[in-house]
Parts: sequence; structure tokens; C-alpha cells
Amino acid sequence: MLASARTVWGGRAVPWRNERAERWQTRGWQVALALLWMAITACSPAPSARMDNLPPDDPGPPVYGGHLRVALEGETNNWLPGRGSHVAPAALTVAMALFDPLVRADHEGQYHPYLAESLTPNESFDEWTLILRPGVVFHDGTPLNADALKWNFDNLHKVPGSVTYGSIRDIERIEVVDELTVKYFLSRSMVPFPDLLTRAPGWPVSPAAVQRYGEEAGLNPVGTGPFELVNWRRDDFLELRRNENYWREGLPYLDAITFRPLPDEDARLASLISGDIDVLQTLRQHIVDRMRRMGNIYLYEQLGNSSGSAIFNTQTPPVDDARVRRALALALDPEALVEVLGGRGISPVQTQYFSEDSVWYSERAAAAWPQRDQEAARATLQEYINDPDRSDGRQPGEPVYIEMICLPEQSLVDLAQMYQALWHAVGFDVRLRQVEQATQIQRVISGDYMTSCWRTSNEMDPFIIFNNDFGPPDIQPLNYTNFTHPVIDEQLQVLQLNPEPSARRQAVEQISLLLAEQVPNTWTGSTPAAVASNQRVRNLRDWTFPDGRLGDGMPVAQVSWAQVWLLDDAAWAAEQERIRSANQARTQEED
Amino acid sequence: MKLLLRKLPWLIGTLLAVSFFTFMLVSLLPGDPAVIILGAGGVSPEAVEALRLELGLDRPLLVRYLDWLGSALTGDLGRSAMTGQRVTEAILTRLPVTLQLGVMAITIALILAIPLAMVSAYRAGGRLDRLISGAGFALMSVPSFMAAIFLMLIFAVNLNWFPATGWIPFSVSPAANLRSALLPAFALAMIELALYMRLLRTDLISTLQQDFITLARAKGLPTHTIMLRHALRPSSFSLMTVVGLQLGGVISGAIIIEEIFALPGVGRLLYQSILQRDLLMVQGVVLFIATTYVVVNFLVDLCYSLLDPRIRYAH
Repeated sequence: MLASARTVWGGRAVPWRNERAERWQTRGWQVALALLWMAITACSPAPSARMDNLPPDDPGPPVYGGHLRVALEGETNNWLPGRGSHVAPAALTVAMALFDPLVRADHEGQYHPYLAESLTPNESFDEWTLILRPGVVFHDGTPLNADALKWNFDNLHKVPGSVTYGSIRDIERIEVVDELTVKYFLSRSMVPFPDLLTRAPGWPVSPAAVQRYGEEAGLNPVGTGPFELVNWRRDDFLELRRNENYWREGLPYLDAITFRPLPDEDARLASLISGDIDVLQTLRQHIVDRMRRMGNIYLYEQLGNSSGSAIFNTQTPPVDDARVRRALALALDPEALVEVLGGRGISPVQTQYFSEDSVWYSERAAAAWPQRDQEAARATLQEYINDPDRSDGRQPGEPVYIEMICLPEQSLVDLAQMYQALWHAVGFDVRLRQVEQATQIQRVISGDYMTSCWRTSNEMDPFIIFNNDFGPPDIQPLNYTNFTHPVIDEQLQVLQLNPEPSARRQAVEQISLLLAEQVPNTWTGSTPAAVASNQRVRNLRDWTFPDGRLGDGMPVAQVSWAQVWLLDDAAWAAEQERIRSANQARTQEED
Repeated sequence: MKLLLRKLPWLIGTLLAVSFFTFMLVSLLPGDPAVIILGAGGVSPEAVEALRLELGLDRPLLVRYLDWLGSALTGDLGRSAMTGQRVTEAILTRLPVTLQLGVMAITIALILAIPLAMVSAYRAGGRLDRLISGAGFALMSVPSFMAAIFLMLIFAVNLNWFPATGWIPFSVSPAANLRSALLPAFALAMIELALYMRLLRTDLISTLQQDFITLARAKGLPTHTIMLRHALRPSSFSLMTVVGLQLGGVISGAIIIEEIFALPGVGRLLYQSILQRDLLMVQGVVLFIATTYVVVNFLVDLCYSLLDPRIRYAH
């Protein structure tokens, strides 16, 4: 009979085996301990205090040259305006390098021509004359003229299937007046028309290039922006180089930019720390939180208007009754909802369509928004429950049933459960339904829902936002709540026709107050858009118009790359010396 | 040749079934792809209808499948409605990254697994065996995404030995290519390593109890000769089979790793296409992965028959 392998080969008969084994075991423990130490170091929490990592007020003198590496959360599917999903912040920020908008907003939210030389309305604001700057050429050398603008509008935007088709429905046609002048004819008067030209419909691309590339045009963007495409390997990198024929004298400062889509948030941050990239962009609260505690970077934050929300279909009982919607709002604990999303201390609770950073924000509307009051919520709900004519057709005294649809993403599942718990606590009978994104969109646009988690508001002009969200549902497909009101209609007229900023601000406030009373939706927290860079990168935020007017910064992390620069080695050594001296001086002062 | 002819109809049948189920699975997912492409902000009934017509979504499902199959047979998997890219071209562009990652991962796993399994089997039941086996089980239970993040934190962020993300093609710089591929390959190898080690250890223990090993020992052959020349070869039969199968499955295994390390491979292409509901791209990539699987399986079956006469005669 054969002995077991251990009896034959193991045992103590050969002394060297034991020594070697012991040596290995000792080494094994050493390696294990070293690994454990490294793991603990790597995973140990960052300092809890907020670091002083705000960018300097004075970025210093510009430096020419350098290659910037930027990591984004994703990329577009197609670079052709009208075809690509340019609504995502990652795509918007790259678009700012490839294309120039005809119009841009300044730091006070006022619109001014940018690539255009002028934009003038007629008296009734339904015809707008746009004059282009002379001598501007696309990256392929073809001129930007009136014919090119008309071609863009007719072939990329005013065609069914275009993603911008819905947003430009008020523009009937464009006519060429002369070499550099076009006239936009609108179907109705519209003071905030320039806002449309800050977005994809206002980013001209070379008609010659689109025709030359055919089906591949979306892979080969040819705009007038400060940088031109060198190479795009999808999901890997997008390499751009300086546009030598850029229309703005002396710009851009950088020689090249490489954009890299890094969808994993932790991996993106790790890449910044390890020096693989120079700049990153994020919209996630937990990453902003971590970056606030990091040194050796500059962190730029800007609150966006877009916020998580629960929208109500105001044509579906029982949320067609304002008492029910108000009771639902009164039952909520917005701080808890923000915390579930990981935004405590990062995202302020939203109370209206505009964040605290916006020029349209109203203190009065914030004060009017229903604050958490469970007793008041129960009382308001009871009033509806006891109403013999309650809209849901149930008998007085029966519970009120609410159905909420939401996406099956973990953070949203947690959020929906929090809604359920808070509403249940005041007496609602709440059912949650998880649906896939396309189903959710389809159900919401067709009005086949009661309540849905959603994202509400954006950075557009208030008229466009409110008209989309509260215009007549039969002609306004984006009015998902189906909520309309005479006060809104009246104030929309002001926003549509009155160019006076104070009158428009007042109209926005009136609408916000009404929404606080009628509650067609509730809010969670504003979206923090953040960009972080190593300390060599300068001027990511403070871009200016050609006349020196300060721009609108970096809404939704959208950077204007033409005016960004990178310190070269000499400038960086001087800067480090300056930082060291400043730190020493501060330490001495503290001592 | 007879065996080949007998298996070929099964191969074709399997591929047809895979293609049909993939097409149906992706097409029958709830939600309209046109709505996804246009997004919530750009949706209007006319725009959705126009895009549906353009994408051919108004045609019956079976007609769309047969059309797609006809083109697929000629190597044309269609053009993505989301990106405008040709599906075949997209797959072929990314294939080298995934292949390199897979080959490196399997190589690393084998380089580590073979000696560890030998040490473990040599002292089966001993402290070292228990330690290695325990470590193997621990590795098997660590999700690959955690291993990836862990490796990234230690070796890229803290020690700065490797880049945290990104890919440098071999043609640009072989050294930089290896540097960018090593961490993800390690992360991927950690899943395979434990499996290989367990498999080889079991076979080795069994082999070490055979008469010819006792004979070799009696002849006074040194330990390393017996382990390497006499025990390893007959014990690696199952291992080689599994390695062959894993090579086919490495594409699906690479999905998470490629996403975390931002590598432009086939796995990431599939993941992004699923998120964007890019139907043609998903269908194309799944068909490609399934074909790779089936073909590799088929080749392993053939090799099995060639290596082991009992299987050949059984047929």
C-alpha cells in the first residue's frame, strides 16, 4: 500500500526543508504585514478639515505652451451639434474647445455676442439679425459666413431626428442677408432667444467638412474653436492641438489638450493624485467632499440649478390636488434626502428652480417653500382624506395611495426608500416601482405616471425653463407635470417680451412663489459641479469676452479652454518658492 | 476530420441560437432606443417617430433579425445608431487591448499558480498548504473591482509605480505599454490565480500518490526533477483545459477591469453600449464574445480528443 504524499515527501527527515519553510513563512508574514501597512495607508481617511485649496484670485501672468491632460466622466456619442448628446457636462466642456458659441453669458447672466459680432432684435423680438465677425475660419480653412450658418441650421438642427429639433421649434427659418449677416425668423416674440445660440444650435461647424466626411462627420468635428481635432480613439482619448488661425488674437495659450473619459469616479481622482492627469471634472458629492480635504490641488466649485426632484403628474389623482402635493412636500426632510445622496455639506437644499449661486435665486421663494412639518402634513392630508369629493374616487376616510417610479440605481433606490418612509410616516400608502431609464422617460412624457424621481431645472434662461416645464401640455411636450396656471402664463409673457432685467427677475420670483404654493414637484439638493487641477494649471474659471467682460465661469463644470494656461518649469519653480514662503510666513505668524 | 464534420453542425447551430437570443434579448428590453438617443430634454413625439423610422425600429422584429443576420454572415455587423461607428471596426480596434490583457492575466496567473500549487501539494495538509489554500480562497472571494481599486491605491496612488488609468499601445512604446497593462492584468489574474492553483493542487496531490512517483523517488531523483518533470506534466491536463476556456471568457471578465482602469478594450465597449442602449453594438459584441467562446470550446474539444484516445474511441 502506498503511503500518502505527505508521509512520503513531507515530514522532518530533510532538515533544509524546514529551514527554508521557516524562512519563507517569516518572509511571508513580512510581506503580508507590508501589504497590510500599505493598504491601511492607502485606505486611511483623508484629513477631516477643509484644506485651503481654493485657486488664487490672481492667477499670475499667462504662459504659452504646454500639454494639458483632462479627465472627464464620459464623452459624447457624436461630435456633430444636433446629432450628439451634448447635454452631458463632459461633452459640453470638450465642445468648448472644439466649437465657439455665437453668444455667451457674462457673470451677471446677461447674453452678449461672442463668435458673432452683434445680435439685434426687431421691436417685437420675433426677428433677430446676427452679424458674424469677419475673417473667422473653421479648422479646415473654410470661412464662417452667413451661408455656413444657414446650412448648419437647415441640415443639422431643423431636421427630424436631430436632438436639437425640440429646442429650436420657435425658430421658423434663417435667411441670408449678406456675406456675414443672417436673420432668424421666430414663430413668436422671444426676448431670451440669444440663450438658444449659447448651446449646440449656436456652435457652427464647417459644412464642407460635414459633406466631405459624410457618415463619419460625427467622428471628425471641424468647428471654429481654440483647438482642433488631431485624433479621437473612442473611450480612450481625444487629442486636440492649438488652432493657429484662431480668431481671438493671442489665444489659446496651451499647445495641446488631451481629454480622457474616465467614468469611474475613484479612478479619476486616483489619476489626479498619481499625476496621470492635470485636471478632472466631477458632479459627485462624495468626490467633491474628498477633494475639499486634499492639498496640492486647486478646487473650483460652482453650484448648478439642476437638482434631484420628485415630480407629480398633476392630472393624475390624487396628486392632481394641491393639498396632497403640499402634504407630500411638508412631510419631506430635505436634509435627510441630500444626506442619502451623499451631499451633506456639499449640496445645499434646493427650494426653487435656481440655486443660491444663480442671479435668479429668490430669498422670498426660499422662505415660502414648505418646510418640514409632519403635523401640518398630516392635517393637510386629513383634509383631503375627509373630503367627500376627493379626486381619487375613494370613500372619505380611506388612505391615499401614492405610486412612485424611479431608476434601479443604488443611490436612487435609497432615495426612493427615504421618500417612501417619510411619506408613510404622515399617513400615505406609498408603493415604489423600479423601472429602466427608457421606460421611465417614456412613461413620464406620455403622462403614464403619478410620481417620479427626476432631475429638474438647468442653466437655461428662465423663460425657456418655465415655458418648457409649465407651458400648455398639448403644445409643450416637456411639461411633464402637466401643471399650468394663469399666474405662470402671465409672468411668462413678461419673461418672453420684457428685456428689462429687474422686471424679469420679478417675474421669476412670482413664478417661484406660486410653485412653492402649488408644489408640482419637490426638491433635494443643487448639483455641485467641480473641477480640480494640479497647481500648475491656471485660470480654469475666469474667462473673459474679447472686450474684457468677465464670463459666466464654469457652469456645470464647463471650462473655456482658450484662456487656460499651464505653468512651465521655471514659472512653476518660482510659484513653489512663493507658496513655500507664504506657508513659512503663516507658520511664523501662528507661532 | 470526421470528428470535425460531426461537430461543425453543432457549432453553427449554437452560433445561430446565440445570435437569435442575443438579438431578441436586446430588442425586447423595455424602453424605446429612440427615446434614449434623444434624451429626456429633446423628446417630442415627432422627433421620436422620425428617429424610429430612421433606425428601422418600425419593422417587424423577425425581419430586422434576418436582415442583421444576413449582413453579419458577410462580416458586416452594422453601424451604431448612437455613434455612427461600424460595429466590426469598433470591435477589431479594441480587440488587441483585451487580448493582450487576457494573455497577460493568464500568464501572470499561471506563473504564480504553478509554483504555489506545487508547494501546496508537496506539503498537502501542512501549514504552508493551509496558508496558500486560505489565501487562494480569500482571493476567490474578493470581487475583481475591489482588487482593482486596491491595487490602484497601493501601486499607482501611494507608490506611484504604475499609472492609475489609461492605455499606451505597444506600437507607441513597448515599455509604457507593459507599465499601463500590468496593474489591470494583475487585477484580472487574481481571479484566475486561485482557480488554477486549486485545480492544479488537487491533480498534483493525486499524481503524487501514483506508483511511478514512488519509483522515481526510489531511484533517487532530486525533488525538483520529480515535481517538474514527472508530477507536473500529467497533472496539468485539467489546468490546460480550463486555461483554454478562460481565454475565451477573458473578454467578459475584462468588462469591469477595463472600465475601472479606463482601458479601450472590448469589455468597456460592451459596458458603454449597454448603458447607452446601443442595440447594434451590443448585439455585435455579444455575438463576437459568444463566437469566441464557442470556437475555443470547440478547439478544446478537438484537442481533448486528440490527447486522450479514450475520448476519440468513444466517438
